[in-house]
Amino acid sequence: MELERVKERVLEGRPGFPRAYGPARVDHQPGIPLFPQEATRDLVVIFLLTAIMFFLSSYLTPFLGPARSPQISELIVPDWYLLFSWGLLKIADIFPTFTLGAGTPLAAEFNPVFWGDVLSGIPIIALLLLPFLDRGREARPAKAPIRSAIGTASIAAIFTASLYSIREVISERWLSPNGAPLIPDNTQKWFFVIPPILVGLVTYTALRRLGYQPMRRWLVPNVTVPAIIVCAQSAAILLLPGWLGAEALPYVVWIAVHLVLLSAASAAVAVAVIALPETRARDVSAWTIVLAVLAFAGLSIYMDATDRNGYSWVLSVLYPNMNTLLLLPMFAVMTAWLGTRRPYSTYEYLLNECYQCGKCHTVCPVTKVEDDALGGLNLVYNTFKKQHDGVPLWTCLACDACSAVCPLDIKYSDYILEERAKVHAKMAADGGEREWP
Amino acid sequence: MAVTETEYGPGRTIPHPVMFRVLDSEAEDTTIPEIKVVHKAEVAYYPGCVDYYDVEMQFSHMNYGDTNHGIIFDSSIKLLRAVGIEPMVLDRSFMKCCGHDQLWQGKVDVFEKMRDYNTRIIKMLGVKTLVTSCAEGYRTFRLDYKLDGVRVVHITQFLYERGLRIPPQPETARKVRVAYQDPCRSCRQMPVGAVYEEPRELIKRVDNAELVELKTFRADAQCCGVAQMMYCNDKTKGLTRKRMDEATEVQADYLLTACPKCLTHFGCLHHENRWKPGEERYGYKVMDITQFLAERLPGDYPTGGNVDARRKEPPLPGRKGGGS
Amino acid sequence: MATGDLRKDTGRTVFGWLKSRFPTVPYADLTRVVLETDQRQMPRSHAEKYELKTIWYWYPLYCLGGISFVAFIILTITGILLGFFYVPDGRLEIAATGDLTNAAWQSMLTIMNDIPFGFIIRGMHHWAAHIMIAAVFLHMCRVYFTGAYKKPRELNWLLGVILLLITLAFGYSGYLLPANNLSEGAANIGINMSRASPVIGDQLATLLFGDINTLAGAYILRWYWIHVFILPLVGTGLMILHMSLVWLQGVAEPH
Repeated sequence: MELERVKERVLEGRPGFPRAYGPARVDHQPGIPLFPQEATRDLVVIFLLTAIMFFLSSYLTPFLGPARSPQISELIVPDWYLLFSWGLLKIADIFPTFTLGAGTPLAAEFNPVFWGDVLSGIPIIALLLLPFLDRGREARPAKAPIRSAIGTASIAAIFTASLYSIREVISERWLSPNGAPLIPDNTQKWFFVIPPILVGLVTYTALRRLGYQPMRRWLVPNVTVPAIIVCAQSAAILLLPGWLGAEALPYVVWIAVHLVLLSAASAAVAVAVIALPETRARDVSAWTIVLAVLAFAGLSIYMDATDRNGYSWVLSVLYPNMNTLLLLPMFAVMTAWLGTRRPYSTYEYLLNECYQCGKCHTVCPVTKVEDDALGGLNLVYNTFKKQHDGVPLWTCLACDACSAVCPLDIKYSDYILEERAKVHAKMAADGGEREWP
Repeated sequence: MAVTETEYGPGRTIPHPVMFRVLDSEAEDTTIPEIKVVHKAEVAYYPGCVDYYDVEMQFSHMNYGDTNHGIIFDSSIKLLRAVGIEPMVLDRSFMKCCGHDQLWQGKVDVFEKMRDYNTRIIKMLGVKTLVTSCAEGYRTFRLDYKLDGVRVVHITQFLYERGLRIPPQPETARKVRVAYQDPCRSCRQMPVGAVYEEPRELIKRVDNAELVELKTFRADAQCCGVAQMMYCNDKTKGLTRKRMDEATEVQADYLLTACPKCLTHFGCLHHENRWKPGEERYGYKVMDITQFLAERLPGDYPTGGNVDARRKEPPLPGRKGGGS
Repeated sequence: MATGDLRKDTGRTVFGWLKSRFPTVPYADLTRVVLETDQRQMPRSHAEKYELKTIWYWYPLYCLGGISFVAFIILTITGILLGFFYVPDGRLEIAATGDLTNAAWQSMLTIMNDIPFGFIIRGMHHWAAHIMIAAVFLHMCRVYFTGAYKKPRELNWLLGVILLLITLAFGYSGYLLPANNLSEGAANIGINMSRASPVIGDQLATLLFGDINTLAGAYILRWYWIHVFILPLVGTGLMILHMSLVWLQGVAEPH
């Protein structure tokens, strides 16, 4: 009876719905031929690339400059891709200098250049060892929070190392009103390490949330500790004598406004994460980001337009402490927002996890007895493609044997519950069940 | 049966046994009647729809005394008394059906009405522990109801915790091989509180019973074939048969289950098989684990009230078939 | 006349001339088989094959390896063209005007000013180098984030890391060659880093740069040879191996 109609609708002539699996399968889909389709596709990209290079060569000629001379006076900056190594070289002056075996032929001097070599070698060693350190099976980046966090932190570290390599340029170019560098070397050294750590933590937070893991125990320390640091430092700068130089005192009001804004933003999200339920905390975080950014931008534009001198004093307080006063509030609000976001939870997104391993098909008892299921009922996958036409939906026993073996823990019974409820709701909305047509 | 046109094409239909019509219409009435409990206690026992199944099976001529659901209720009371608990019986006179089948059939609004009504009564009566003898009820009360402050246990869990002891069987009793069916609802579907070990432990306490595992057991156990009373056709019978064949393969003398629904489906096929002469495939007895344990305790107990003793055989073919 | 039938072509055609002297037929046939075989079709991606409603927006990142290879080809071709005119001699000279100069830098001037389209060829070489390094780095990031270095692709990842180092060495040697002040400064940094190695420092610097300082300009010739012969030989071989492994093992797709 209806089974025949179901068979017609579902099984005949529908692509991508295999009748058999494994050796019995005969409908392997061909790919695109190498020539002419794939070759054309590739040639387009190649021509585009070549055209871009022609354009760049014609309009942006590479620099040549005067011939080399042994006494060069200007600062030489290597090409961008080796700046990170130069930065590592320069940061190595925090390491101690000593010599082992001085005076002997095997004397080894442990000086900053040597330490710089070692530091440059560490990323290489880490890259080489990577496949042997990370032996997990999970490939998708969204499902591997730690690996992705380390990845983003490393990219941020390459960036900050490159910035540190031009520390002299930065120190000389931007000065505070009293002539000292606006971003002193100490701040730059800390900027080398702090942003990568923060970026990694934020990435981890966002992906941890995506994986539906418990968030409170992670969020509370990550948001409150930065907030406490920012508030404490702001209070110390404003209240303790000696932090602000005598020349900066006339501008203490503006400095205070900025510091209060940063502290308030951090404190607001910290309180929200601790005290409010998740949806409220998410709203508070989102609003804090928007309002704080607008307020900060507005303040900067206003001050820059009206009181340039005062603004430079404000910056002379903010920039040397930028690792705590500027980066930590950003980190706190981003962590709070990303950690309370609503992850996708509809069953379509969850079913999307399926990678068609076929285990559900193997254990499903219905597939052993249903005629139209004997050939090609790959439960989760076919459901996802909406090629079920009621067959798995209504004959499913909801015994969860498929969920028990699914390597991705997809709960098929959730789908059944929802879909059946939907059908009934639709029937009710249409005015009740139809008896015989 | 009604035809359902879904957006995916002609869908399957949902058979609605008369029983379900009765239960669903029951859900509409939300007034709470006067509640008279025989004995008030903090431990409550909810028997569920066991008596209704007896009636349904008799009505459909699927049962002539070899499957008895009502005895589950009586066995459970006896077992609870044996561990020193006099439970408060949550009778069907003031409770409604737990709503499991309605929920899984998609009739969510009916389920929600039943749930709200039952939850109110459970709260009103001050229940601290809710014991059920039905795996589907266990899952529904534990996961789909929000019973804060109430601990939901399956009867086998409760008996195991309270240390039920089965006295040594008389020496004349021969050794029996006992197979156990893990219900889907209380085992594989429970993310917390799966009931795998307790029934097995209780079976092992019967000294003449040897627990034999079926071919698929624990989390791999094959479903009994029908769920939420969705269908009764050759496919579901095929699955039930597959499962019962596994019991034949291990030469079981008893097939025990912890869910009255599984008992219904096994019993139905068992009964069919009994009346097909020459094809006696299932020589073993099918019963609920509570009945099995209660039989091995000393003392009598009422043995179910809904099986019509006059019905011994199926009616003769033809409209004027015999029987009452 | 050529009938198109490999077996029947006589000596009067070009291919027939070749055929009567070298065993071309089995190899020609093999080529035809290789081209026409099913495996020569580009396989459908997992998402295409199963019509998955899945995240598609990172599929373009999978062409980064190919882009770096295309950039390498462009670098090879422009490099060959530049090699006709570049002189790898960094010794200091005094020009007729009295300024300090050297032959390498003079050849660069010639390329930029006198050779027709020389500045474009040099520009292509320069920009292709940057694009290749950027593409290689982004390719490595893509492989890292999609976990495509896991079993069974560990060997390919190791090859890739070595290729990354070779690419960086290519870039470094590339901007050492024009013998301008950038080259001088970079060579100084390199020499200092080599000399800092314990025990073998000075020998290492001499091996790589020809001298323990840049005064004599010996590093130009050494790095020219590294840039033009050693690195291309090793690099091309490893690139072919790297791509063959991908061909054999298939592309690792995320889901």
